[in-house]
Amino acid sequence: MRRTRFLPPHIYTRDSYIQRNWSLCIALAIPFLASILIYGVSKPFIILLLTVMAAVLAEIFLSLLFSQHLHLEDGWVVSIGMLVSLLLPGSVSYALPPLAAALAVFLGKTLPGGQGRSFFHPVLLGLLFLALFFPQAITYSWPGLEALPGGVRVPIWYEQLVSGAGSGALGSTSVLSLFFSAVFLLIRRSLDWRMTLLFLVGSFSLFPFAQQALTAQLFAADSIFFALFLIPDPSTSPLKDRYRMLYAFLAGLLTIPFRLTLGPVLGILFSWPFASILVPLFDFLAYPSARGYLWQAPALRTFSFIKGIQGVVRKQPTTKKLPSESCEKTEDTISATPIRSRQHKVALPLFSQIDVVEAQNPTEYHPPCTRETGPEHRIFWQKRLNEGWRFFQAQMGEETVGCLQLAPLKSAWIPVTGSDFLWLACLYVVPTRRGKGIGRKLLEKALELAQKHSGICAVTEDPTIGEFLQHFGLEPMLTNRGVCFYRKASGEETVHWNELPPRPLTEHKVTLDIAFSLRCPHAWLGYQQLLHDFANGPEELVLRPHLLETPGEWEGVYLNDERLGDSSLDRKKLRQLVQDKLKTIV
Amino acid sequence: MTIDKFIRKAISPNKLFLPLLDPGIGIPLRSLVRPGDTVRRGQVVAEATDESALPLHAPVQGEVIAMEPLVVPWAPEPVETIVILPGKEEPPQPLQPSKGPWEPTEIRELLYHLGVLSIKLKVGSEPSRTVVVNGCELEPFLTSTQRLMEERTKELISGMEILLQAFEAEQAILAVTTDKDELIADLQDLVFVKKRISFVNLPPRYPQDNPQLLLRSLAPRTTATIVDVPTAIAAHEAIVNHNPLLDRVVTLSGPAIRNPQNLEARIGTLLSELIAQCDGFAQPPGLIIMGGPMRGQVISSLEIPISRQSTGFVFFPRRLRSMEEPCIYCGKCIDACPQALYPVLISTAVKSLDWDSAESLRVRTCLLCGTCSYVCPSRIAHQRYLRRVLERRTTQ
Repeated sequence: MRRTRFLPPHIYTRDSYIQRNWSLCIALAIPFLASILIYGVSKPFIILLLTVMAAVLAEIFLSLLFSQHLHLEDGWVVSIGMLVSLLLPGSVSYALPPLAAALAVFLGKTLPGGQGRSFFHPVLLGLLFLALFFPQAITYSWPGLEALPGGVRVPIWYEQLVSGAGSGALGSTSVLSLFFSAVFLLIRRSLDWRMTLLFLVGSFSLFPFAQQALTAQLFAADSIFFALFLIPDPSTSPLKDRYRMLYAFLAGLLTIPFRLTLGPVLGILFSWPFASILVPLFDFLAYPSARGYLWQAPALRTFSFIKGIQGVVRKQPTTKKLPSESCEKTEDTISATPIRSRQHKVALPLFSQIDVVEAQNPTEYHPPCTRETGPEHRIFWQKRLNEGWRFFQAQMGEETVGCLQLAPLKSAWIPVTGSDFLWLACLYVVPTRRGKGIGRKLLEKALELAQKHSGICAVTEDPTIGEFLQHFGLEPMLTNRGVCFYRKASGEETVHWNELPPRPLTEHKVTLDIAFSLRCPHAWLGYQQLLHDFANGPEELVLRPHLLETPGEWEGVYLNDERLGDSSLDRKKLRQLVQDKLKTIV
Repeated sequence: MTIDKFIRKAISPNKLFLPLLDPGIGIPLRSLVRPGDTVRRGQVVAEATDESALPLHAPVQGEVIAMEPLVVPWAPEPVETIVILPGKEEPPQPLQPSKGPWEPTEIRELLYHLGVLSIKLKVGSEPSRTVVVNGCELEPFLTSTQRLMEERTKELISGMEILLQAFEAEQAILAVTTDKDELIADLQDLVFVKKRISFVNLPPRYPQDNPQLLLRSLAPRTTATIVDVPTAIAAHEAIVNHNPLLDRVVTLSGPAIRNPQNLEARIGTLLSELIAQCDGFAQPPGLIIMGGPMRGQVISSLEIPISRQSTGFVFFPRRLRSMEEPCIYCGKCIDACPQALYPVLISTAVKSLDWDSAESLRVRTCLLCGTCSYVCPSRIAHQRYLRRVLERRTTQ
């Protein structure tokens, strides 16, 4: 029996963070309904609607701006909007809650790179902004229950339970509704009740110093709201259980001095960041044996936080499409925008040194693109070495982080004629190590070798790599297949691209040609996968595999003689293209 | 699902397949029969090339009709297999009276030749003081051990006494994780008069049935040998009734099967024959697991013989895995890990191919129990990343 890829375990807990976020939203709807009962329908409803909409729109806009993936289905953004709106008093103007929500999404989600990446809760960041710049907006001045028009008269104890201290944020005025929320969350198992309890215990432990009544402190100023919805949030609390409890207790304890100086409302808001700042420290303390790792890799959220911000600030270069009409012309150089220097700035880590080493025999060559280099792969390399290829690999300490293959033109697998040029067959850098100058180092090695020859040439279908090559002086040239051929001559000799003859079509409408060679096991495997995908296709599709045997031919995937790409083609995309093509016939 | 269903004897099979490879340790066996030979029930048909593997017995009387390669899940390549066509049903043999007091070495020899325990298991530098019978069954859906303990309690305790003598041990502990009061009362009654046998009811938390964790909670400082419940019962059968190990109780369960059952099947019966006795499938099975869903192996065929190690088969209508979402750093995997590892950090290290860091996070103490993958709310397959580090270690 063939070993299948499906590894155990095969069952999973039903608890998912998406479900958790949505049940938080449902739990938040209960205090929202209570606030409608107390303050009337219009104002809480409009505030909530505006805030949630602002959060969602901000998420859509920011994901487009920074070309990140849009994740609305996980409920995180909606819950941020609801939390922000319910933490503000009803007296707030309509402009401020949406602003705070949009800022919360930007500072707490987009910049760090998603849920769990930031140790500050997004809501905290949004509200802190309001507290710093619009302090009067966040302090409560909503009149008490009696002042409401048509307010019902209720007994004192009931009044306190339902409407709290008479004024407060929309969500935290009614303690009774928060109790129902807690029950709901406990039933859905989305609440760590120990953290809630410890936060409350912490905030009451220094109570003798406060000069206010117990119930007023308990019911005023969002204590319970924070304890239920914000403090136990798993993505902003420490990783280890013990330290999570300590964090909740400390967050409660820290509220005391702040409340005594800033008042009950701003107290929690300014004490929570201090507890949050300790989260990376707690993570660090929890893993003494991981300390070395902590400095090396950006594993914990402190580092991913910084890395996320770097990723957004240093925006990825957008891929440019080649003009389609110029594909018809041959020998036509295209104008490319000058490359910005900081895109290829070498940002090497301080202690890592990259060495480019040449592999003299197949056992020494371990390209990082193929996971395993077994004996059957070494046959590939040995054949290439016999043909005069040269293999280089970039070493970062023990680890191989990139590889480079250079071939003489007579054994190059592309249709070119020229004298003594080198073909850049492969230039690969491990995805996690990109942006550190490894590719640059490898290409510089190739250019150095090209000085001894007439020049160097390369073919790529990726405009980003094309820009990279142009930065090092390789001139682009469009071919009849719409693919850029890059060359750089050291002397006067030059290299020419031989246009490929069209492949004859069959009487069937859709023909998929896959031409592959035994040049490299990685590419070969890629083509095998593509072939496997369409092996049992419909009758209208003709699949023609071509095994290229001699150099001078060019591998690739052609749909109705239209070149789609090489082995790095996305399988899903290709399947979609073929299906679209098949639909057009039917 | 099957926890309250009595063990049912499977109908005698049409054909029996005995692969010549030990399923536990993967040691090849040497066949002693040829196609055309007639075999008696309980006759040795294959002997081990090594003492750590057990000999194979013919489960029924019949004729060897072929020797052909068969694909089995515990080997990467097809394995040469003895195919037996069962003949007429034999009348049950009269019981052989046991001959007085036994020497420990004699018991061990007999247990080995009857296919219950391999000799290598107990030849150590130092005799183990404790025998632990692992009655914990925490894999979801599997109930064969639980049913055996309930229905054959006396045989189990008698088997434990035999194992005590065989290992020359001081005490034997039966570890169970059950909430059935009747079973606990039965065990208490039986154990009450025995001096050297005790039983422990452990909390039913999943990776507790791992031998390493079991030893940690039962006998932390002594050397102990762990055997499972079917082995203890087989030891009783072997010594008292002189029967070799010919049957195995397997659970066939899961949402895709129409009538889940605990079946006592002859070793070598094909899985497809057993499924027919469970009234077939309710839905076409998209995921067949040999073993439990937490640690079991996915198989892609129903033509698989029951082996000496089979515990059960679970059938699901489709694969349950969903897409891997980004980590939210909630720390659930860390809380759940029985070995106090940090699965989230290790997977992050593996994703960035940082092998040294993964090693420094004590990854080699991992038990591969899969709890981290199970609890992850983002559906990250932590165990797969841990396994990659471990497999990398073994290949180098």
